[in-house]
Amino acid sequence: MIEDALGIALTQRVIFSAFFASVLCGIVGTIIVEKNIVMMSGGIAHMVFGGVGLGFLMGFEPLLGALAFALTGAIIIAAMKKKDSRHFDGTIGVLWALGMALGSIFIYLKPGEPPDIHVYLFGDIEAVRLADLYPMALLTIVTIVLAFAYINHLKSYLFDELFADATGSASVAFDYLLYAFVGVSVVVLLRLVGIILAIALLTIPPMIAGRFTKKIETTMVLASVLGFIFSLSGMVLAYKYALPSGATIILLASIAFTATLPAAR
Amino acid sequence: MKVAEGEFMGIIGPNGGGKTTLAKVILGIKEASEGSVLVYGMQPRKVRGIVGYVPQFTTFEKDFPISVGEVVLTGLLGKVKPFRRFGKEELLKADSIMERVGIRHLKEKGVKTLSGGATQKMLIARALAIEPKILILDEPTASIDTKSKDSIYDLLKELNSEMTIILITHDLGVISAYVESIACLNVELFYHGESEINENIIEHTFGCPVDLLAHGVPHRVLKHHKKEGEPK
Repeated sequence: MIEDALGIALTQRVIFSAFFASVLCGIVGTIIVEKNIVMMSGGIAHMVFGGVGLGFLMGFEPLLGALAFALTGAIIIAAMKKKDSRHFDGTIGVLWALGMALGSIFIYLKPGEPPDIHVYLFGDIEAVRLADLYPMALLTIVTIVLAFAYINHLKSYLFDELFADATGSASVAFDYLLYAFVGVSVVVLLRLVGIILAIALLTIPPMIAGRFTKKIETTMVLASVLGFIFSLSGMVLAYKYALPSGATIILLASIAFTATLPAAR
Repeated sequence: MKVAEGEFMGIIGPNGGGKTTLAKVILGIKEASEGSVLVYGMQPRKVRGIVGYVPQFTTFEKDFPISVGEVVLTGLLGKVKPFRRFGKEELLKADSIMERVGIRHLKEKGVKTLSGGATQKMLIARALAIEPKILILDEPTASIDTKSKDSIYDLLKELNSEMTIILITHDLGVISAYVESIACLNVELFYHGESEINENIIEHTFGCPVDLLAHGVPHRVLKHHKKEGEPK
């Protein structure tokens, strides 16, 4: 009886977290994909690991460290992009590896039993705590409101940044805001699918959705729905066959991605 | 160098010569590293909305899911404001601009389905939506067929009665036929005033001989670029 009650509570928590993550990924991921900044987002995502390690070493919440590193990475990358830096792409690769290296060193330096970093790399749906749901919900709502408020400016920015800039219809703030959202989204996805798989959950649903939609708004909605379907069915499968949940979700998404290839124009 | 109001000016030069950079400086989205640009006597950054820009084909996202009508409307957006939606008047205005450049029937079409010529007209319509006094076009005919080219240049000729046009191009034949004055840009800028064109100037700008072949173009002779102190 008690086990059942625990099971239901866990299930509800899991469903809610999958829902928030999917909507967040649907909106932010669509922008990432359309703006062709998957590499940059990957850089920000992997920098997060440095923050996780720092949290362990200094004894504060690793997710807070992750958030700090995510935002720092976002600012560095947006500033580099604005300056039109040479070897922009290569430098992102450096930040990418540096984040992982810092994380490993910090964790190694911490005396005592090493923490289970597996959860941070690949996620574990059962690791999602009730307390994680509130920031997830808040961030999802903020994202929806911002996307709704600035949808027309966003279209201008995504279609032709130069023109948007020249006419004032999208400011530099868009860049910083976008990268910050990428960073924060990765932190939110951390417990669900982990650093390494986060980029897949951000990009696969929008890419599939884009094959069937003609407007960015519908791409965002369909991507959210698809993300939710992949997450839920992935979790059910993982539970049934005792597989790792994060990896199962991404595997399902990848199968759907391949299966819908013929619909790509 | 000065561009007079109502002029139709051409800027020619090879890739990497700084043509697009010059356009960005005039638009106020890039600072000039040397010298300065004034638009109506003011810093370009302060007079946004006076200069309309038609970008090169490589700078915008051709695959982005957006309709022709929506793209033209982005020209009306202006400054970033939350919950910005388009009013009835703005929608009608966008329609009439599309009518004018001849793409009204493509309004609901997705950008990625358009031909090169139609895409170019859409970008011109978007630039017109900001009601510019100056229109800058960066290689507007780089990837379109001759027939569409002609219709675009005719459109520009017509627009020239209302606004100054600055045309950045490789298309030397067109420079001769439509343009009133020429500047050559290959890192250095040379201004030629009244358009005159011959093999020397082209060779000087591009660094290699270029065939000059155009029908019905009156023969013009362009003076050499003169450095200070050189005899005339």
